[in-house]
Amino acid sequence: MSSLPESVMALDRMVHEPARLVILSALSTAQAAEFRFLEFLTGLTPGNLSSHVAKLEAAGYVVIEKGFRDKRPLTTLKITDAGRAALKKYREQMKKALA
Amino acid sequence: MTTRPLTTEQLDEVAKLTRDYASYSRDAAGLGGVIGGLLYFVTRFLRPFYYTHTPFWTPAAMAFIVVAPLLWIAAKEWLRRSYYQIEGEVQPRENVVDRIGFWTFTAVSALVSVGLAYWMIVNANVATNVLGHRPGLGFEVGPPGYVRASVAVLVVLALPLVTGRFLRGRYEYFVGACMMFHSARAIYGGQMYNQPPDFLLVGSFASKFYLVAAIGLFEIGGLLCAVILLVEGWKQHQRFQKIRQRMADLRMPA
Repeated sequence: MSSLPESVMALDRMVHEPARLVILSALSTAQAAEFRFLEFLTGLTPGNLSSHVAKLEAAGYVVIEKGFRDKRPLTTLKITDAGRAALKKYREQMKKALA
Repeated sequence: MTTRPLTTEQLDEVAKLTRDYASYSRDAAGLGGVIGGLLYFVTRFLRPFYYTHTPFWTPAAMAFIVVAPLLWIAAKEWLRRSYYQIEGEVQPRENVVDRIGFWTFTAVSALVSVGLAYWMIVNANVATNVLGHRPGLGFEVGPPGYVRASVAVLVVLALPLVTGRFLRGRYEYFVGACMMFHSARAIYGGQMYNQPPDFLLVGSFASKFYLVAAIGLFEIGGLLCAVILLVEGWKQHQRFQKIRQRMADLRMPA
């Protein structure tokens, strides 16, 4: 098997996954977004989305805040500075890899 | 959407769509703007429809003018939560410039509010009514007048809080401020408020050209902003439908 170019190997796998890339891209232009907005945007099931969000949280790329609104559970997500930097770095690396 | 990787352009579009969607949680009112514009016109031109044999507005029309700002804010908030953010609320990202702009705007709004309250207390004879020295321009004397005058001043003083929280767009702000001012005048004004056009009446009492000009500009400015708000609100509503449709398109599996 031929080895992949170094520029591709250097990509952050946490960001590279399509669903997580969409989540980070969306959060990058917002102060905060509700979990159900990301459900609508990505078309993922709640369980699948939770799994991706948990991975991003573990990597320190997003912060999850849980609370209540009108006595209903409310989950809000925010991108962190590390998440924003990782997304920016990924986009730059992709540009180089595709150039 | 996530069944396939998106291109760089599509990811940029996702980010832009999210930003546009988020604007409807704060600045863009959509149909809320249309309702605000219409309500303002109704409150300003209600008189011909409610004209009776007396030169005064009916109590129902006066009550409508008083509650119009509340009706607008309630309708706007309901639309925001039940329509424009139905897929989940997204708060727009604010940078330092936005924050400085907001606080400058709020400070100016507070100054206007205090200025108007001062004008009401000193120039519009609310003080004389409250103190019971002599009847003002048709104001009631005694406890009912005192309560009405106090509520009216409180409405005006609440202006920066209400606009800062609910009416963040510039045209929304101006129309909302005009509407709240008319509401306050309807609360305390009594008979005086029933004599249109307001600016000529006040001017004739005050005999001051600058006051006539200022109130005239205020009236014209309010109506112009209401027209802009109405048109802009409708355009925002149409744009929102496109944003939502585009989000759904991007989500479709390959």
